Amino acid sequence: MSPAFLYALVGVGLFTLGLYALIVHAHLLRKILAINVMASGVFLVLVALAARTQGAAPDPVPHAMVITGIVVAVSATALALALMLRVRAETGRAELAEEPLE
Amino acid sequence: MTLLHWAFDAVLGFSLLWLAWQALASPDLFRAIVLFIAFGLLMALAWVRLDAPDVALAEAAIGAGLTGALLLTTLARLDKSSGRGFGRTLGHPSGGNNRDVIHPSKKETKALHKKDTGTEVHD
Amino acid sequence: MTERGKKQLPFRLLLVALLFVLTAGLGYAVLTLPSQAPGLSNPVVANLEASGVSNPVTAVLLNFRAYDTLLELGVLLLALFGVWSLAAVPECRESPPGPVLDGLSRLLVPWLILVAGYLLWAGAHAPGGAFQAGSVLAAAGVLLLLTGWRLDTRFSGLPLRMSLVAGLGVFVVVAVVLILMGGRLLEYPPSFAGALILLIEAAATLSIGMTLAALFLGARPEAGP
Repeated sequence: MSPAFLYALVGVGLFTLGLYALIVHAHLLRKILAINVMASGVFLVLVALAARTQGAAPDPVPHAMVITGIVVAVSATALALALMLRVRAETGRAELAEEPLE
Repeated sequence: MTLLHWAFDAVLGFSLLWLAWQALASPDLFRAIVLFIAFGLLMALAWVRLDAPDVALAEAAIGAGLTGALLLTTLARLDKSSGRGFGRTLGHPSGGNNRDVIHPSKKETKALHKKDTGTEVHD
Repeated sequence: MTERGKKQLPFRLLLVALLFVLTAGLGYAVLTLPSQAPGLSNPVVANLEASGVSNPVTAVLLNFRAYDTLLELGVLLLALFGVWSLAAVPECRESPPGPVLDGLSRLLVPWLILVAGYLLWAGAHAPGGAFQAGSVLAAAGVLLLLTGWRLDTRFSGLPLRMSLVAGLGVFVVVAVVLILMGGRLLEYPPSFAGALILLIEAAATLSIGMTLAALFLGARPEAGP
């Protein structure tokens, strides 16, 4: 057990926390926040597991993947927010309907 | 020294989980976004602890800065359009969904309440 | 909590139970991994000499796995196309900036551009690189946009679009030229790998900064006459 595993477990916790919020909240902005928390959890697991080198510098390949992932996550968030504003403009609400609109 | 590191890691991990939970469960959307920005800053700290300064730089600039700015502007646009969109829904029948017309009173109170507090309304 | 809230309660409990199982499973999977696993760090260190840079993360991003970065610039551009095609965003009429924001932006923007340039240059041998520099540049752009500054219509047509695709364009041109010279996809000759990486990174920094700032603005700027 090393600090790397502690952070990996925190990452797992963040992932499920985000998944729970993604399912239970109806507001789209909250769903976007939840997806971002899930992404942070995945990044944390990746980087934490890359640090399992005894004393040496950590594995740079997951680091590069996570940097790419952070930039992709922010662009996906921007697109999702634009879609949410469009949903708001079309239906007058920023939430998913609990029962289908007829 | 190692004990101090462990204590720091434990506090940081706990704070990350707690902030994420607070950001996702907070009834006020503005508060949720501000907590999420704080969460991003703590993530940058976690990257430094994990020996990933490159990721920490990217996270500090993007995760805490840009994402926060994006979310806050969108929230401002959402609030602004909620005032306008509400009027338009009642004024133009084509502008909104049918439910507003069928149950105007229920929807009205819901929308007004939402506008005031920015919270979700469970009914 | 009303009737529906009560009806939802069993589902909520079931969800929590399922997620608990998921967390336990993922946690178990993480904890059973070997505690020492160097991964790909040894091959990266062994080939660092030939990559043209001495920062291993930059070497992976722009040399060993350059196609990831190439596709990622494409993803950024696609996200911007998506946002622009949803142009129904109401134009936000911001109030004019207060003296603090106005003065701060005048003070900070030149520094942010300088920091972006430094991060771009330092990325070859220290933490930094195109993504970090690009996001700092984007932060400068967001600050300018917040103070009410808008791109002059003379530049919001072709020049803006050229700067948005510059990163992807330079990357693709380098890749094609290298293939035509008889190499494989994005296999830089070690003698001028460093220069090629700096060229691609400079274009990518500009594109990333402009794209992220444009994503922040939301609506597509009108092209001038």
